[in-house]
Parts: sequence; structure tokens; C-alpha cells
Amino acid sequence: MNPERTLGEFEQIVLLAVLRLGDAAYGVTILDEIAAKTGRNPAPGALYTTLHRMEDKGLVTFRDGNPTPERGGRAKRFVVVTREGRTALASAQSAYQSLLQGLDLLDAKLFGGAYA
Amino acid sequence: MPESISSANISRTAPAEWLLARVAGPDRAAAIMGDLEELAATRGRLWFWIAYARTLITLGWRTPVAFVAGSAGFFLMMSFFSTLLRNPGPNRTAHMASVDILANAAVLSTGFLLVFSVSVWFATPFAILRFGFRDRMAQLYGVFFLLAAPLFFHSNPVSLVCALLTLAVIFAALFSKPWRRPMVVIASMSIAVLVSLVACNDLATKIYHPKFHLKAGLDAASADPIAFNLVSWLVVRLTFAVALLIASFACSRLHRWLLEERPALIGGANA
Repeated sequence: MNPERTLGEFEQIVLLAVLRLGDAAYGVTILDEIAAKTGRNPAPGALYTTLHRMEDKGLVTFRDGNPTPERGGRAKRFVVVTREGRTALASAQSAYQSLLQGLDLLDAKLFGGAYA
Repeated sequence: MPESISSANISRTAPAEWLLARVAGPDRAAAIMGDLEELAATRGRLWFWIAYARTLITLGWRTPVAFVAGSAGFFLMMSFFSTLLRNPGPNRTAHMASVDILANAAVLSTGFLLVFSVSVWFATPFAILRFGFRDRMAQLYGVFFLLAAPLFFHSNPVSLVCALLTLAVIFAALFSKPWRRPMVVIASMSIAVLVSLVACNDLATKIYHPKFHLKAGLDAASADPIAFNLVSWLVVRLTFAVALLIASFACSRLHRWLLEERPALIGGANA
């Protein structure tokens, strides 16, 4: 895998949600976590597209759980971030941190005093 | 949830899961359906079906759109091809009559490029839309498309140079590790396109009419109103569409088998 691979914004959000959830990360809990922490309600299709793309890139893998009745007898598919996924996420986050360094986003001078 | 209710849901959504499995694979489809079932417990059945439809479109739009684009490319190539057959150009006709080695090589290279074009003009738009331009196979197809396109300029030297360059790219890809597998898929795809076209053409000949053949369809595309036969025209296009459908299925399967290397499951990649 290319260590310089860039991640999209939604990919970073999904990876962070998966890391926060730990062993309990699967479709439903990831959607809930994203909604709770970001206020966004992503469509399930958008989440699955992103997860499948990241699986193809080797950023996440899946682990099958046990079938449950509330899922119509289907197994949960838990998401696990791979080492490559963590590296890519750390790289993307450090880029944000570098850009933010020395900036105070709530500083009124940045807005020309308009929001003072 | 009572067991009887979940069983009823499974039988009701089994065809939907089967359809989703065609675009996402059986494992992914089962997990997605399970997630949607779980969410539907609090959001309702209407939400379930709307979310299912949106997920199906989000995951599956690429294949039908890629197929339509590939078919458009193929039929465009066929119309160029029929124009070339009717009007080979003075330069080419003169050379065909001679015994010049270079002229014969040009005729051979034109034939080679024409045969190769049959799959390239279909597969290039198909591969770029289906797998994205970052895909190595799509990139190779892009190169082959650019090399095969000048064929219709009616120039023997250009055809000869393009055929030689195409062969050079094929051999270079076969001897380069990252490009070998994409090249194998392209070679298999070219064979699949040609075989399915010939097979469907033969089948249509037997089923539709013994006089049905490729030339009837090409004549149908001509400006001559006497030669135009709507039924032949439709049958030829339907036959080609079925053949291309088989080829696109073969391409997707080959791509999955040879080029989509999944990372090792837990314990391997994440160790």
C-alpha cells in the first residue's frame, strides 16, 4: 500500500468512528456514532460504499459476528481498522494539525472583525 | 423480536438480498440487509425499502452505466468499421493491389488493430466507468484505445506504427510485474468479446434466419434504403448487446479473481 495515500473527509470520519467504537463497530453502530458526534445522518449506502472502498484499499478488514434474530438471522460484520488504515489516518490528521498550527479559528481578527 | 417475524422478513427480503448480492457480493449483501433490518425496527418498513433502494443504486450504478457507455463505444466503432469497409480510401486500395512487403504489413496491422478494436472500444469506457481510472487495467485500456483510434484515419503508415506500438505495449506489460495481471485480463477479455460475438452471431443465425449474418447488420447501417432491413438491424444490435453483456460479466469476474486482492482477514493484516 502507498503510505502517502490521502483520505477523504468522510473516510476519516468513518475510521475515527470505528476506532472510537472498538470491538463494537458495525454498520448500525457506526451510523449512530457519526450521528451522535458530528450531527450528520449519512445514508447507509454512503457508509457501505466508503467501507467497501477502504476494504479494497486495505485500510479496514471485517470480522463476522453471530447471527441475531433482530437482524433477520444475519450475522453482524464488525469493522477493524488495519495498521495501514491507522497510518493513513494519522498522516491525514497530522496534516490538519500542521495547517491549524498558529491559527486561532475563533480569533476575530481572522474575520476582519466582522464576527467580533 | 419473535422468531416467526424474523423468518417472515427473511423470506420477504430474500429476492432483495439476492439482487444486492449481485452488486456487492454475498457477504457484504447479508451484512447490509442485517443492518437495514436492525435499523428498520425503529424506523419502519417504508424507511427500510427506501434505504435499500438508495443503497442498491449507490453500490450498483457503475455497472449498468459502464455497460451502456461500453456498448455505445462498440456501436460507434462498428459504424466506423462499416464506413472503412465501404470506403477503404485510395491510399489503402493502391497498396492492397501491390505486393510491397510494407504494404502487406500495413494491411496485416490494420487487420490486427481492427480485431483488437472490437474489444477495446467496448472495454475502455466500460473499464474506466466500472473500475475507475486509477485501476491499472483501465489505464492500459486507455493506452490501447489511443493506439487503436488512428486506425480510422485511412493511413497505412499510421496503422503500421500504431500496431507496432500496441504490440510493444502488450509485451512490455507482460514482462512487467505490476502490469502483467491487468494485461492477462485484457487478453482474456478480448478473447471473451470475440468468442461471445461469434457465438451469439451463430446462434442468431440458427434461431432467427439462416441468411442472418454480420454483413446484413452492417448493410442495415448504410445509407442505402433498399438494403435497410429494420428487423435485421434490431436483431444484429440485440445479438451484439447480449454478446457484450456476456463479455462484461466475464470482465468483472476476471477482474475480481485476478486484480482485486483482498487483504488477509483479522490476525493477518492487522497483526
